[in-house]
Amino acid sequence: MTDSELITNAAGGDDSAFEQLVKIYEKRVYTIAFRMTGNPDDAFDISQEAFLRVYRSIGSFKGDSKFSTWLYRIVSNLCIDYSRKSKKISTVPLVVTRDEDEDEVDIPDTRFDPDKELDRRELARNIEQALSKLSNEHREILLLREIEGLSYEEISEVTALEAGTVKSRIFRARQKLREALIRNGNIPDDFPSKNSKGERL
Amino acid sequence: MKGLGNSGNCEYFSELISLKIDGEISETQLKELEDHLEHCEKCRETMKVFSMLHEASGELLIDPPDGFSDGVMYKIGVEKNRKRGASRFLPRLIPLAAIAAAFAFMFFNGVFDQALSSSSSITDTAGETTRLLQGAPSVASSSGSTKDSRSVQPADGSQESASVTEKEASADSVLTFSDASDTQQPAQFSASANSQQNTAGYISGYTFSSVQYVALSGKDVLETIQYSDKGIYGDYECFIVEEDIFLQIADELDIIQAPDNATNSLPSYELSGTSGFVLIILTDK
Repeated sequence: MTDSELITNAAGGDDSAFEQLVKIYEKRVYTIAFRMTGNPDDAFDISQEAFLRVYRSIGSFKGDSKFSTWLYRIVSNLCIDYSRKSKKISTVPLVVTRDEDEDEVDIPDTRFDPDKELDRRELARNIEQALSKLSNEHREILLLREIEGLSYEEISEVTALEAGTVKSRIFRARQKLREALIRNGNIPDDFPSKNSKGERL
Repeated sequence: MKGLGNSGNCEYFSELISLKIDGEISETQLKELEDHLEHCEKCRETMKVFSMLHEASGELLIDPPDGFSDGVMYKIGVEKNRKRGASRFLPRLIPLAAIAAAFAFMFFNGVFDQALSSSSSITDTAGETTRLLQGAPSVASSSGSTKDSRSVQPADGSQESASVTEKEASADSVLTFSDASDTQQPAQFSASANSQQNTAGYISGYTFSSVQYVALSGKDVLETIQYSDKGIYGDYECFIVEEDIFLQIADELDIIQAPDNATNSLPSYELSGTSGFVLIILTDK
């Protein structure tokens, strides 16, 4: 069954169709929640609550917005509430969940070498850490773009941001992510003078 | 200034790189970028790094704990049973949001006075509104001795309102939600237009310079709605929704809840050229 068939059936009261939708989206929803809250318990609660809210309103869901954008908007709102309540404005504790790596704290100073591609998992862990240093706004928009693969238009729907803001915020977020990786020594800063003073635009 | 010619614009080209990676670049921009990349090493490096970040991001997905979907389905089952089970939950379900929403709905339909003065239903939905509205004050008063001592005055000015055209009324209409005292407990809800009438905030293509609307709470439902615009003002969220969405919310009023600690300071929301209902939701502190 396609997503839209599942949605139609779920809206018609078919709980097993809804369960399948949960299974399709749980990983992505949980990832956003985890990356935004920085801890598995809150991520779990937020993700569960998001699906419950979807369930309550799926009867009124209309196809003119994509199901996924609708879902992510709910998740995103829940995460915003969470950060307001917990006053975690921009710091999220780094928790590396990848099984056996859990106790590794020191990230080795691996220089970025374009010829020898970094081990993907290693890189992912570095990005993970850098991501946790970003502001909520930057982290959220990167997650929507890179993890959920949403288009700019869809991101605009989810976040209620103007298209132009989406565009520039994604760009800023990437720059911040890069800067964080440079600070951590995960990639080299070949251009130390970049964007420093005189440049505009 | 560094005399590196094209590199003065590297910020601009970095943004184009970001667009390219996301497949959101226009043909003209792409051409521009490719020309620039040919002789700018710095931007080639940016391209490399941004691409690398983009590709590696797929690794960031995390599996939820086992039994995640079972957990969701279990909670759904519990919620269903609870709903089926009892009206004993009703007392805490009477929401100021419902009342504000009811006002908004009625104004839109021009059945304001009828809905208030008669319990016969004009349309199905109007009948629902009537029921809600009539139910609200009694519940409010019955719980008056508790924390929820809000009072509702729906009927004032109801006779006049039907003759007011939508535009006239909307232009001056203000819904206010204010505490009757300095503390947060006894809150009073009133809706007024032209200072006399209770009316509500339907907006239809009119420009408002600064209008206060409040719909209070109901985040559970309201966060799932499809809104055409949304603003965040401090602790408030303002949703603009279309009529049909509004009606759906009205249908789900039984799960809208007012927060215990709704406060009395109202945001003002600048609106222009929008249409629909404005709902300002007071979020929990």
